[in-house]
Amino acid sequence: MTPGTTTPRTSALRVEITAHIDDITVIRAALRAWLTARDIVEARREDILLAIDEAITNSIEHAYRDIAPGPVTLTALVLPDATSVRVSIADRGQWRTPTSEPSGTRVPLSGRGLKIIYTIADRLNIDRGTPTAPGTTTTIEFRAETTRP
Amino acid sequence: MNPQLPTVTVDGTATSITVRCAGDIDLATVGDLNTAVDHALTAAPATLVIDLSDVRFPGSCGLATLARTDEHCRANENRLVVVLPPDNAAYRALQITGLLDVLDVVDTVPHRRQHNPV
Repeated sequence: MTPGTTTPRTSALRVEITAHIDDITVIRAALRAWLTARDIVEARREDILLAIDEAITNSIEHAYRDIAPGPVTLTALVLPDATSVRVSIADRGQWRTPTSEPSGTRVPLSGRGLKIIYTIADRLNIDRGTPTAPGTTTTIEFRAETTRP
Repeated sequence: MNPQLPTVTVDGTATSITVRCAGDIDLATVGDLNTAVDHALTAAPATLVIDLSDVRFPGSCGLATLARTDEHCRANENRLVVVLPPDNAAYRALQITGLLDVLDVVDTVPHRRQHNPV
């Protein structure tokens, strides 16, 4: 690779919003642009955006319930093996145990189910913070084929 | 007009109501879709059509709406039809989540029947 001629694949992305629902769009637009610039194939890019949408939705809906909205931070980077992308979503709110699904639900998609993430991610870690250092960090790795040779 | 902005329109007869949604669905925008769907369901149409042909991003909230609406329609013996062609990027989300196996998904909006067949 000749320096300056292509986007460095290793450049990381960091976006922070305050947990207002209208700014979900901002994070998604930034992540979409970043994934596109890293030549992630379109289908996988959309998978990743869907999984991250679920994580961000959880943070915005639940983390700051009953308190003032705080930060939600997304970081994304290409792992050194160049075949995976790691995306983290961090908030400083309280972890809330996922609500159980209503019985009889055929497709478990409601509540804080994280079902889409489980389906799409290759690795998932959730750090629920501590009482003195509250905050949930969801770190997800995705294998991601690129269109770049 | 910003193509990302969601729009929800409703069109219907006594037996069939179509809720058409365009743009990106997420936590910020799913409220309009939910309101339109809930309003349509109060009319208890025989068939509820949710047309997602012009949706670019279905969002986890949008998928949850589909799952919940499917539950409601089954419980009330209404038919739910989702319009989403396979070449739409959102189609893949239905595959991944298993919704494609549960929902009645068609490529185009069903023709409204003008006369009941004898």
